[in-house]
Amino acid sequence: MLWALFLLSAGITSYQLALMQILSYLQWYHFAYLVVSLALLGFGASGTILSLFKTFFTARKGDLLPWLLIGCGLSMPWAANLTQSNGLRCDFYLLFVDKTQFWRLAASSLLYLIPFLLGALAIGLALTTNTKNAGKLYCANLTGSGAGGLLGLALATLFLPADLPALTGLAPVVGGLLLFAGKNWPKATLAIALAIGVNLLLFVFPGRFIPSQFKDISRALNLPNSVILFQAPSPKGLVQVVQSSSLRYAPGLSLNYRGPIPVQQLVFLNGDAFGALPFDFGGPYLQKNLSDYTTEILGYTLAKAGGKVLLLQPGDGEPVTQAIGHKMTEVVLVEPHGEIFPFYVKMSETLGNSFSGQPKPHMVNDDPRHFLALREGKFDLIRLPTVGSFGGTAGLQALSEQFLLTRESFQDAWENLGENGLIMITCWMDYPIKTSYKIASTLAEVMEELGVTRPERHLIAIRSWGAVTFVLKKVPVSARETAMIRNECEKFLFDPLLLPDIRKNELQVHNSQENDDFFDTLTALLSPQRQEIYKGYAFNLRPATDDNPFFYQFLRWSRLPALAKTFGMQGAPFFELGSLILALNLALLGILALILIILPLFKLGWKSAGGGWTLVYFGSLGSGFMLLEIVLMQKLTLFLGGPILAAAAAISGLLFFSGLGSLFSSRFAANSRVLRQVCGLSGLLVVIFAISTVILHRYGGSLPTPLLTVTVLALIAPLGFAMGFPFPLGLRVLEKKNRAQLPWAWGINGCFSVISPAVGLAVALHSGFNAVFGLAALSYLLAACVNLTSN
Amino acid sequence: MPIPLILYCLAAALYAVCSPKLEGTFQEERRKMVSMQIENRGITDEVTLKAMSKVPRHKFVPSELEKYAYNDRPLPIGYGQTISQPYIVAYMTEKLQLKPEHRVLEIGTGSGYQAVILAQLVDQVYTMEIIPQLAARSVAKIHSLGYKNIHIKQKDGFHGWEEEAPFDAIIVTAAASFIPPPLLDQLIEGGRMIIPVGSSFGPQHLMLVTKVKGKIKTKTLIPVRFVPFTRQ
Repeated sequence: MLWALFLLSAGITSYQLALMQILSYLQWYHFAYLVVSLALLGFGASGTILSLFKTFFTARKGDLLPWLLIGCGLSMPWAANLTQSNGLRCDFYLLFVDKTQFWRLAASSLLYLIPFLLGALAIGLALTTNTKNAGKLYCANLTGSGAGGLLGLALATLFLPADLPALTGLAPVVGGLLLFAGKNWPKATLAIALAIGVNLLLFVFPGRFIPSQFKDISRALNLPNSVILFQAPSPKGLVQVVQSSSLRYAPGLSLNYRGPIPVQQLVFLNGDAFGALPFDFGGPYLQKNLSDYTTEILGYTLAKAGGKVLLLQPGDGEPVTQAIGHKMTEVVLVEPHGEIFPFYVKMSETLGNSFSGQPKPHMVNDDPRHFLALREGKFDLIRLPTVGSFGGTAGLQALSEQFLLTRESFQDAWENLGENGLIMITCWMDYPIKTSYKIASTLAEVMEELGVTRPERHLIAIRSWGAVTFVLKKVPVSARETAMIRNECEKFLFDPLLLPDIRKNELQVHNSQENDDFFDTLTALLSPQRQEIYKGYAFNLRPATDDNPFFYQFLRWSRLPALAKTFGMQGAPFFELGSLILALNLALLGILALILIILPLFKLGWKSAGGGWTLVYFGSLGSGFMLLEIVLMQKLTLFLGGPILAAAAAISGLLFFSGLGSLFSSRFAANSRVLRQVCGLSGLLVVIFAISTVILHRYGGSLPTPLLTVTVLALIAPLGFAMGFPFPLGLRVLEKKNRAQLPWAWGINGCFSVISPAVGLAVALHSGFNAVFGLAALSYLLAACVNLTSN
Repeated sequence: MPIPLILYCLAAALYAVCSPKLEGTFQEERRKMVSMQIENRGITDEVTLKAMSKVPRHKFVPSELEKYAYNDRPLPIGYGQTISQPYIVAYMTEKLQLKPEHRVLEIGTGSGYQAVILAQLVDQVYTMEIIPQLAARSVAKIHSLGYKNIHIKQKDGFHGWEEEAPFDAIIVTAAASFIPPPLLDQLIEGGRMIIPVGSSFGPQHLMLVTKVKGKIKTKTLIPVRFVPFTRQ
């Protein structure tokens, strides 16, 4: 039974990761997040079903369990395939124009729910009918989930997204096989052979997974002579390289450029355009340096000739060729996307052949923040990646953390600058204007914190028809330099935006706006009157911080009615789709979870003895565990450099140590006093862990990643171990109190486990991740408090 | 008379009764569209308003979306492309300041709706579409509506239409992160080019490009769906 449960849990977790991969590729990450959250409610629903049909399930437990596992494993690929059928395929973008898409979304979510429901029914049935061994069973569940996380990452590295559900489904099927041991073997063998055969068949022929027509990859493939030259899976998504006779790449190009723009190969990550490869594979490098015809010429106008350049997450090859073209003696490129790295290696070789005598770029596969923390050298120019996307975004990035765009990140970059160094960052102009304002406010606050006097002499910006480049310079800009900047602006049809001696009549010589609001607001943001703009502007312009790293979170909920009035209800969602999806997710999960929690009461009775205790205790445990899990992932992303490593360390480490705790809990007596102690201790350890992360961030940032990982795991170990106790012990206490409520408790725990990540994200958006730590600690303390009154 | 024939006649009669009514409904919707979405937002050019009142927009959207054709929003037309919001079409047309003798180049035929609007205002419209399926669909649609002054080419708009250049006005209907240099070359001295910038269904703003004495200048126009945000 333990191994079967282990395999089932591993299969469910790896399936969850596989679904995120598939849906992120077919649609967008937030769609994936919404659908997977709803599907995970299968855990809550399993408790409700087990409560309502307790007698049926308990009486047939032995017969049902293997079939539930097989059903779970089989339904994984089927659910994924059926949602891609013509009648059910949902396009997220069309939700706003086609009402049938809502039904498709609902049907898809229901289909995806089936494997989770079947799996959760099996786990719930095993746990609630054998509480004596709850510790061991829960240990198998937790460690299996941890292993599933690692398995999911491994599979995502080796196989294409469409292949994953059939593979993840094999684990529960094999678990079912183990449960058949000693039973009706011929029947069981046939069933298992069939199930494995079907999954393998679906692995070989996975069906057609077609991305939304509005994804970048679909648009590229619609072009004549388009062909996918290369594709490879990776834990961060599917990497594809596309070639077409019409694909060209020259974002923000000066209107004075009259040369050729060669056809290029574009790289797509999860179906979204990532960047261009500025050369033909195997061919000579012929292209002119197009980046010199963008506002990024500003950085090279001011940087020390022949100096050292640090390119953080450049995305494509243009910034690299620009740096080499300017004969910088050392070009360091830090790229966190390991899956893109081979292209850089190829590019480096080609560039080496094209620019003979020039040093090849030094490439580092690391997280940019982690690299900055290492203080690897003093640079003359540090280039941050371009912010935003051409034409603005629909706010889909509102919920994603941007640790490279926080105040602390700019301060780190400043510490990596040489004596005359500078930081360069470019952003696309968006309307209504948000991105360039937020960069300006961030840079202004950073300068204040660094004690820069006369900030107007350190911050320079120029503007083209579609982009703004800011430069933060360590030493004041000289009169000679401002003259050079003006010359470059004239040459490329750009306009100066921020100069120490800027004149109003030179702001809009080549690229004008309908009014002066942009310039007035920008100036105000750089002045002490900044706070008034923060209060008065329709969007959130406060800088992002490491604790609240949501740079793209612009929506102010208090202004939503005004926005809807101005833009119309159909337009409003596009300003902050991410936040609105989160709100929708919270509302849907809240309503559905409430229904799932209330339904069993019709059978258990509304005044069922100890109902309040069960609800609060198991609800708190579900919330506390998941809140800690999501905050761990965010915090560790910053320490360990990259969300994948962070997720692996956080989830697997926490689950593994919790499993050990759960196993160890069998040695303890189950009573309220013990529950009070273990929950109180868990809450306390959450607080200690939160404080430790602050200390670690401040003093341990420059440690090598392996040492940091070990340190983090050492910190997680006691916390996870303690957190493994309360659930199995609680089940044993509940068995004594009111055995009929056991499935209900399982359902409550499942519902709160699904809602709390969404709540945690909402809290983080509003108050930062430290507040989520606080909420997790409070959850455990609440669980301790409900055990104060009895022994 | 056999039953299928009777049913056919009944269906035909029903269609005959209903069709004019549907057309009438669309006409009324079109009138409201022009008055509420376009005139109300400050479009005053009479020729543009007349063209917007005349062209049956519902014929340029997929049949299942016909009922939304006159709504104040863009609609998907397949292949990841959209037909622009009516106001954007009118605003872009007005901003080009067209005269009957003008020759206009459109990059991105899409549904063909913008080309047909332009064809009401000028002598010759040249329109290019890169996606072969969309180009074929537009050719069929435009021919079926009887327009003789619209020339369609299925080709990459990056190179413009060199044989017919220069143009008095160029309208780029699909936002791009750079403006192809050949298009700037094919714009006549004193000519105007207009480009929408923004996401498919999201807010868009327009950029006006002019060529004066060989020098290119741009002007970012007010976001077209709405009023600008100013600080309070």
